Amino acid sequence: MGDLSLTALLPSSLPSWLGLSAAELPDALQQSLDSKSHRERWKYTKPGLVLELLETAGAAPQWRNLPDGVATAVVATDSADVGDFAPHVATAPEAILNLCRQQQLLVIDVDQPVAEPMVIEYGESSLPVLLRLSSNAELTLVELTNADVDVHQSLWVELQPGSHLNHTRQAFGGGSHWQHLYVHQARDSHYTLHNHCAGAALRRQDVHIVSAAEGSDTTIMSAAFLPERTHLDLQLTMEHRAPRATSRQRIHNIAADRAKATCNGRIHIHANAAGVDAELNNRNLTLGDSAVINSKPELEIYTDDVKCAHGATVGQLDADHLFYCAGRGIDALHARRLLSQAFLATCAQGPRAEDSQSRFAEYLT
Amino acid sequence: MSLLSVSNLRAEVAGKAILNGLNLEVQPGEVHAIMGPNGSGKSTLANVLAGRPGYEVIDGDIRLDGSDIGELEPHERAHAGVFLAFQYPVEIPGVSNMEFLKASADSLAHARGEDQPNAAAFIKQVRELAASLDLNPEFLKRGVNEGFSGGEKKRNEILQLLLLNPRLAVLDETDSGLDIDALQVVAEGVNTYRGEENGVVLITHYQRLLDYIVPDYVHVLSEGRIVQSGDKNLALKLEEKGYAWVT
Ligand SMILES: Nc1ncnc2c1ncn2[C@@H]1O[C@H](COP(=O)(O)OP(=O)(O)OP(=O)(O)O)[C@@H](O)[C@H]1O
Ligand SMILES: [Mg+2]
Repeated sequence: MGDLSLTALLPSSLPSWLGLSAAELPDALQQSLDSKSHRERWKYTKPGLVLELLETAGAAPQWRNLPDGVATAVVATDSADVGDFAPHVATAPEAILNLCRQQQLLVIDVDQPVAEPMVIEYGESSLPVLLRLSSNAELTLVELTNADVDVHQSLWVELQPGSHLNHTRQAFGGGSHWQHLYVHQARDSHYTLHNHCAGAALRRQDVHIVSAAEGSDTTIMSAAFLPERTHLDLQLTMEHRAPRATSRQRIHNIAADRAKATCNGRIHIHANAAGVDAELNNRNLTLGDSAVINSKPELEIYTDDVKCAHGATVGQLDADHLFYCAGRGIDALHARRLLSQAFLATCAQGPRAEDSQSRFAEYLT
Repeated sequence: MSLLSVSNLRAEVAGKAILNGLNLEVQPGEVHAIMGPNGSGKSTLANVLAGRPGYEVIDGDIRLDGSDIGELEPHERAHAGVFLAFQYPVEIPGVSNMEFLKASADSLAHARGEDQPNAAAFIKQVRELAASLDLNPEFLKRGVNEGFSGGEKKRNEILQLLLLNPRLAVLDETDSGLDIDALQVVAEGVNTYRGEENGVVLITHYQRLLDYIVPDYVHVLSEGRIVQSGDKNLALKLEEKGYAWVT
């Protein structure tokens, strides 16, 4: 990410929660840009393309419904209570930049168990969203980004003790998309992400989950189909800062010819996070010889007392599965379709699963 | 005309000769049991008949109702009427059993130039078959063989046999790993299928199965050849004396 373009995007005045002056921010950004991890993050997506997206001012996202127990408010960014996110200037400078640039923020507060799912639809670039679940609150959130337009979309989540968030992100739009997600989990909170998407001209997904206190539980299920010549760059960071928490991540991608699928799955277990049980599995299928898959598991583990499993595979459909189908009269083309759909269906679960599965089926016919 | 006629069949797997000139004639209505020591080539024969990739026919031919099927693709052999009940059925997560069975029945109907079976009637038929095989109908919603016990997988193979009603059934150790009750259920399934219109090649290690499915012929396979053939009494003799007696 060239520093020039980044600083060019800096707003004239910075929110006070950032704790940095307008003079200091460029240096802070530059430092993070020069770090090794930063270069890893931007190996497969041109950062300039994301910065271009961020130039657009965001509109307040449209929600289809406002269930009882959910409160929303658009607040000025500099007065919002987002100071805890300031350190991300080092790890996700573009997300912090976006927070600084946007004048406003949509805040969603949930203070009780809410049964009805809340559905937000993104038809254009949106204001950053801050979602807060108080202790023992529960919500099902469905985010839809299915229009063929360029979109930037950023969600910051705070889960208080004992809260449950069941989250679906469905993104089948064909433009350029930057989708940022940060989740902070307190004690015994539960977070599930169902990520269903298609490759796009640009689809950059940054997901950073922090297990900040004991007993939290995280599940990520992600299914993507990349049509010919499309792009998906999924950057996942699961950070365990606390003991006795679990995380499960399963990512299945299918890339058609000349499509480029990247999954950089990082699990970071801090020294005090004893008894953590973390798992990440990324499987990729390619259709066509010139699909490109980059799957990079990264483990940073600073304690011995953990269970951590990590796997990545790239391949074709299972020959035994194909033969079993053939043995029952199902021809190769049909069998491939059935098995590819199944491969995605195992990770396309939760709200909107059926809809996403039938979208995948359309790509595969 | 024989239903199945295998003559002088030689086949290789991974460059290694496994079948070394095998002959077998199955007439309509017959059940042929094939026994033989581990590694003698029984599963290889089954896979070669079904056309599994990697099993290469070097010489000889395989005819079904007089026509050579040796060059056909696996799904074309299924269309021609070959059915292999697998020794180790695979699990296919994400494809439900019902969806799989429907895809299979539709493909076979299409190949025969028939209409696809009516969905509601089809589901009813599958459920009835499941019940007759003591399979919980809930399993139809699960992935193909996903999380099934060994015995459930084998019963699922028999369910497919009864549903698809092929011309030739090759059953590869469908009795292995079954408890006594499941063995009877599977045997009843095979006996229901058995008829003048079809033939069965029954691969087994256990004479016990042949008490329930009485074969017309018993063959002993050794080192890729049939070295002895007889009636059901041959199986009893093998049980008593072991393979050393014939090989
Ligand atoms: N895919 C393969 N690659 C290499 N060798 C193989 C393969 N399949 C079979 N073989 C070899 O072929 C020989 C015959 O195997 P096959 O499975 O046909 O025996 P079998 O009679 O069915 O034995 P069992 O009673 O144990 O089921 C064995 O030596 C086996 O190791
Ligand atoms: Mg065998």
